[in-house]
Amino acid sequence: MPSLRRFLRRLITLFRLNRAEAELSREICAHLQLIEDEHVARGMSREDARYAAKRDFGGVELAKEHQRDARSFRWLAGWPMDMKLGARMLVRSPGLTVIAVSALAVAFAAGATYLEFINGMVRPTLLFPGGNRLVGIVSRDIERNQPEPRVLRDFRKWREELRLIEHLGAAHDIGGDLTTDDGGAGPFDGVRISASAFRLVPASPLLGRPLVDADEAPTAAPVAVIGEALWQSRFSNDPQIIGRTVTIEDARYTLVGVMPGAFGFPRNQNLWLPLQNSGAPMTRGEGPAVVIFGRLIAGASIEAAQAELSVVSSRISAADEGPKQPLRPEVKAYVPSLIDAFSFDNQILALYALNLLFLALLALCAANVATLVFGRTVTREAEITVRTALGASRGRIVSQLVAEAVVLASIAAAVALFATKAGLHWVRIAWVQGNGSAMPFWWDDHIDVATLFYLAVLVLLAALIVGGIPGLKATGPEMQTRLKYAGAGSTMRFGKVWTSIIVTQVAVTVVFLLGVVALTWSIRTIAQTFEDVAFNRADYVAATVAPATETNTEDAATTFRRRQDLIRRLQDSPTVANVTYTTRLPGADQEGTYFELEGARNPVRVAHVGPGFFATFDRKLIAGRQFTLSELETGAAVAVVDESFVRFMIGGRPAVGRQLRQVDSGGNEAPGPLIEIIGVTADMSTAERKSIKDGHLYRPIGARPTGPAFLIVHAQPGTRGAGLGPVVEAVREVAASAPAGMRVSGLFTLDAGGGGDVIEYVFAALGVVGAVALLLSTAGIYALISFTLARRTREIGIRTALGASPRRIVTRILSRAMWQIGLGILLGAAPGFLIVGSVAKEAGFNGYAYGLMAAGAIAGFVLIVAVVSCSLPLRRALRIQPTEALRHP
Amino acid sequence: MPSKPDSVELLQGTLDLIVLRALDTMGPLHAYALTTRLAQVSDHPLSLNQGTLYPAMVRLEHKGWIKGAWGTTESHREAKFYAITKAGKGELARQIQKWRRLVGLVDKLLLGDLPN
Repeated sequence: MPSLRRFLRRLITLFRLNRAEAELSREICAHLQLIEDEHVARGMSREDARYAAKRDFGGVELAKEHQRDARSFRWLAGWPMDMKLGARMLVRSPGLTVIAVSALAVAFAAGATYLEFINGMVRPTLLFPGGNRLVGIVSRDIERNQPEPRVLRDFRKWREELRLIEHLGAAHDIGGDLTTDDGGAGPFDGVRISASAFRLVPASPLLGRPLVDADEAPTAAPVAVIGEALWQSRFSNDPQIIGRTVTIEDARYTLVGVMPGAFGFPRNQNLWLPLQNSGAPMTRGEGPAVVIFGRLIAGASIEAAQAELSVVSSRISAADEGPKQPLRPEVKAYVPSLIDAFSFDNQILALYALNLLFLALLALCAANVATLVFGRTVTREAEITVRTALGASRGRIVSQLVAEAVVLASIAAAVALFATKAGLHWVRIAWVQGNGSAMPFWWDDHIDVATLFYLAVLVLLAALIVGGIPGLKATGPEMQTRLKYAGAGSTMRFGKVWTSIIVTQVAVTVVFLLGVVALTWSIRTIAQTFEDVAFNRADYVAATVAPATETNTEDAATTFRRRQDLIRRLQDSPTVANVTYTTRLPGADQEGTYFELEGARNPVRVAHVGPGFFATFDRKLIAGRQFTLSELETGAAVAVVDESFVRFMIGGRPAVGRQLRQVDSGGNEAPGPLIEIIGVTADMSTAERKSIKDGHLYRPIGARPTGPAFLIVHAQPGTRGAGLGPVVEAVREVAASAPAGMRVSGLFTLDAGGGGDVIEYVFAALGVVGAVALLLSTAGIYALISFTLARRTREIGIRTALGASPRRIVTRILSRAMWQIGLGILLGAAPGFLIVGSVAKEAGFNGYAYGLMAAGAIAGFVLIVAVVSCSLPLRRALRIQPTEALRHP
Repeated sequence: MPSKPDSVELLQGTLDLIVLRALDTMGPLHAYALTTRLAQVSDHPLSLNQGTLYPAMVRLEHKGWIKGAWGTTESHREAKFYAITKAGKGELARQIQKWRRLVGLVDKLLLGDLPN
């Protein structure tokens, strides 16, 4: 307690410095007066007594200094001036400033962007009125111990009985295409939703009206509201669309409104249909998976709402007839309720814990910058020594260096803010490209106050490392020695800490650059796999075929029959040459599934294919036979393999008749049934080098009867080119009248794909981080050499004067730096070699040779950069004139 | 440089104890009086300089163990008088007890039979 009291008093004194200073002067003055009086009383003259009093008292200024240190945080009091000095130092060392700012800005921006993303996605501040009271209800089936989202029956009762949650509503996803009267069809992100949703998130429609309660009546006319994005993409912002009809899920709806882009409730939807209530009795677990949302009434807490919900829910369960399925519903904040709510806290912890990686990156960058700052501090050794001699405490000097580092880190933080802004923009692009949908409605690109606060904490942390470590090193125990031998030359040492930082830094740079090589190779391999196919991608159109609802209950035979019907109808079109479907697109990167063949286990790429697959891609059968229709339908235990499979798995021997089975890679699960190879087909890939990963195994689609698949249409020669317009139209037409229970959506031509902007951004980000790593290493080595020279200027002069050859001098100076660089390169090259080696092996190359080659090349490159960075200070050293050096203190 | 043979250097942390004890027994004192009284009371001249005393007074005042107030000396000069507070008396009792335990322990180690 007294310590806290003292801390507060010192803090308060910070704001009353003048008063405290006046009080101290008055007290010491009175003290001197009393001593003086005593001397006068003993017979001394007033003037002599005054001198004697000062003598008896001792150092007045020193006593004042010590009192100032004790009464407040002086290092804080001097900060405005220190920061001004810091700014001047930055201007005086522009090279160091640029390097340090770049390094810190990269680390700051990475940490801030990540935090902003996580906060923005899972803990957003919903800024609209009542946004902070938005809640969701998530339920768990206690018996089965798993989430139970099919709670439409309970929802109806909750809506009647809950008083603390208003505007309670439900929504469930719908899919498929939206077809307009002119025949155009395209995908959308839609929901059937309670009209209350439009009262929760206040947003005025751009056109028409939102959904209203009356739309939920079973007899109400079917209406739809669309989002701005859909209005733009499908209706070209037509202001006359209200009243037009569209077809969704085989039913016709009248468009009644257009909502602004910011309204994506419940997540990122752009089409809303009313969730109609037929009033028919329901049982628990019946109906689609829904999300439940609502708003706490003003003044109600989540705990109170939870208590009410528990009571209501128990009552519902008690009234249930037949087998009980106890449900445990929970009220959660809205956004967390959308994410897997029961493991949400753990997920959040893991997400936030990942921030430690960015903190580690910052620590690494800051330690590197600290090396440079220490190098510069050596040039200020005299200043530090003199200030210590004049009474400046160690804390005071360290605090000055920290204040200077705060200026440096603040500039880096400002740069990082711009980078974060750009990073958030990139996150949006990556999200849209990766998920094919808009960002959630609660996401906004603005930087949150929490992120700014976090950035401020990072600035302080970086400043403590960048200024604190060099400060403590420069004012360490050897300061006394320096005071004794002031003027006899530099006594600071580049000790073990700095040596290990430089070695680590060079090692990290080498590993990082080799990592970039490996990643580039990986991405290039994926792109190459995409390009190296034995068919012309531009001649094919693909679409997704999936069950119409998530609650698909139809049997495998029905699905197969429906797909056959779809194929038949497409083949009737004059623009279509061939049609098939498969679970995997040829030339797409995919994880291998492990199969065991004659005792050997290897990963193989597997595709479950429908009728006509090999004919559609013009793949000839080399041996054996194709699947029969019955095998395809029943998912018989047969397989067709390709040439690469035969080459790498069977060593080129005859394959037909051999048996293999799927195994778990870890060997934990029982192996699957035996599958017989019935045929061998030509490779789909035309890659020059192939490895075991190029081996393909095709299985009948019946082995994976339901679930989504890719419909693939090969265009007739006459209709190829120009984006396959007529073929796309034909597919759309057939898709629009797809059999009930089946949804055909997301049309694309097979040449669309590849990474696009995302890969470019990844490369740009890697480039920036790689450049910063290299810059830091180079600067670290430069600082080491400059430092060594600063310490040895006089020695070099004497040696030159005594006739030492420049070569010997250079060798001596370089020996230590080269030792550190060499060690760093060796330490970095070993793991780097393994990384590149494994990627090369994956791509079918000799992992050992290519790993060694890449490690050698990067090591050579880093060595050259290091030598070049040494050359500048070395040239300076060799130009030192002996006379000048001898004058050097 | 060796210190004067007669001088006694204060052990770290004992200055607070000495100041509190002096104020407790002698009543409110200003810094000069405190220095002279301590020198008088102790047979050995304490090497107590003002550069140590002034920070100590601020520290004790911040902790709430002493309180300073301006007053007038017998010679009609103004001076800042420090008085021990109630919290300071409690702290003094604790520190004395601690000190005695330490001294007892050190005595035991120094004067007791040492193993061969």
